[in-house]
Order: sequence, then structure tokens, then C-alpha cells
Amino acid sequence: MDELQEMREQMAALKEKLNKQEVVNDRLIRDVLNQKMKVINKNGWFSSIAGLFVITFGNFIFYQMGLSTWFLIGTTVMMIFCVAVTWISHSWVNSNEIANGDLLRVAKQAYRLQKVYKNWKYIALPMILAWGVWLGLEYTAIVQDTTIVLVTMSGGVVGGLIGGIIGFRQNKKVINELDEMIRYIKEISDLDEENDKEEKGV
Amino acid sequence: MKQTEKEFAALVQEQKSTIYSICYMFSKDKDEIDDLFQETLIHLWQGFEKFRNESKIETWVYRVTMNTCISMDRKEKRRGERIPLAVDIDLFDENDKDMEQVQMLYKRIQKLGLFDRAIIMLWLENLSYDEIGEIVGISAKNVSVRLVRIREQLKKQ
Repeated sequence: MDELQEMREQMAALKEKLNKQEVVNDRLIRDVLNQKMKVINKNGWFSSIAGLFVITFGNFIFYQMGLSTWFLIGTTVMMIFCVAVTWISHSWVNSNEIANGDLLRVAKQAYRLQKVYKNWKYIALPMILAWGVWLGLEYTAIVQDTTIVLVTMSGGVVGGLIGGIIGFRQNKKVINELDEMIRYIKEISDLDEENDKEEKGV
Repeated sequence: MKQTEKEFAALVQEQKSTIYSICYMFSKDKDEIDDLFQETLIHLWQGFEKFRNESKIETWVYRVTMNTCISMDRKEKRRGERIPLAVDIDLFDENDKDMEQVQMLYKRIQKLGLFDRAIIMLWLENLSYDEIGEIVGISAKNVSVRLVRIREQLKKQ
């Protein structure tokens, strides 16, 4: 047989072998996941700094205003709880694990973190409402002028609403980022499963 | 994933065996194939958004792959941090009947110079003389002359 024709058949054998292979750029996917985690962690840092700001500066203002020690303790406990939950839940998804570890484990951790963010509104909203009412009661007890109380409380409500909208949007953004992370990992694991099945001849 | 990324992933999926087999013919071991494969994908990705359909996409893929394989070889393997690519097969280490054929092909092609290697690879991809000429930058007539010489060279082996 002519050498070149024979080479064409050999080439076809090579192509057939390679066509069975799935190309997945594992490192690229891990880099994308790490980028997403950075965005999520940035949000965690922002929330923690805001919480620490309330504990220090906020409590200083409340103290100057003459609010009760119980209120200051209550505010501190609430903020420490928020910061702790943020830190602990964010530490579940580890960047080293994303870079080199088992991605299915990363997906489970991301799902766990997402659950915290999804459930956060059920904890945060009643907590903020209770705290707001407490603040209102404390404030009306020390300030007698109805006009000042109304103006200050209106300002507080508007500020609270703006803060709430920002917080809600951040919460939604983190949930979406985690959703994408989980979907990416699922796409890879589905490919792996398909390859395994193909190898086993299923 | 963005639309461009999806389109690129589909292109890689469709052309992977062509790209990988060309990289294989220009390599000495699996690491080198992975280096070339990675470098080719990077070059393809860099040019993908600028690709204006002036030629067939397959022709463009061949051109980028050939240029990468030839220039990487000339630069004597510029190795940076390597992105591991999940292609499980090791063409240098498989031992089935098909692989005997593939390895025979590899040995034959390895005996050719880089330019002839590019021409024969494109001919093996069933490209016309015109298309081969367009990719490697010579006339179709020159391609035909080169192929005759390659055939003679292979017969002598």
C-alpha cells in the first residue's frame, strides 16, 4: 500500500482514539471559582467591617446619647453574632481547597454557605426589627420633644431602608455567585461521570 | 459562562482531536504535548474574538496550531506555569493494536523536517493543496512538489 494512504489510515486510528477524550481545563475552572469566591469574601469583609464599626463607633454614639447599658450590650451581642456567623460560614469554602482539593467537597461547602445566605433574611429581619423597636423605645424615653423624635426616627427609617436594600442586593449577589460556582462544579462532575461510564462501557 | 466562552468551548471540543494530534506529531513526550496543546488553546482564545470569518474557522485553527507547534519548537520549549489539561490518554504509553499503527505514523512523521511535517499533517487532514498552501504560505504547486518529495523520503525509510 502507498505510504501516504497508509498514514491516512493510521491518522484515522489516532483521531478515533482522541475523539473519545473529553478536554476539560481543570485549572481554568478552578481559577474562575477562586475569582467568584474572592467576590463573595469581599462581601463578607465588608459586612464584618460594618459590624465592627457599629460595635465601636455606633456604641460610642449610643453611649453619648444616653441609651441604656443593656441596649449597648444587646447591640454588641447582635453584631458579634453577625460577624461570627459571617466569618465561620465564609471559612467553610477554602481557597486552597478550590485550587487543589476535591471540587465536589467545595460544591458541598458552597451549598452550605449559600443556605446561610438564603436563610439569613429570616434571622436578620426580625433581629433588625426588634433592635429598631428597642432603639425607638430607648430614644423616646430620653428625648421628650415629639418633633425631634419624629425627625430622627424618620431619618432612621429611611437610612434603615437604604441599608436594607443594599444588604438585600449584596445577599442576592452572593447567592447568585455561589449558584454559578455550584453549577460549574456540577458541569465538570457530570463530564467526569460520563467519561467513567464510557470507559466502563455503560 | 459567556456566549463567546461557550462558542470557544464548542470549537475546542469539535477540533480537539485535530489540535491534539498535530501537537503530538511535534512533541517528544506527554508533557510536551500538553505544553503545545495549552499554548495553542491560549493563542486560539486570544485570536477567537478577533476572528472575522475571512477564512474557514478550521483553516484558521490549523494555521494557529501549526504556527504554535513550529514556533514553540524553535524557541526550544518556553515553559512557564503549565495548566493541567484533563486529557487522560498518554499516546507515548498506550499499548493496544491501534497504538502500534499510531506509533508507526509518529515515527514516520518525526523523521521529516518541521515544514514537511506541517504539510503532511495538513494533507492527512484531507485538506486540498490550495488550503495547505494558504496555511503554510506557499503555492498549491509547491505543495504538490513537496508532497512528492515527502513520499520519496518516506519510501526510503
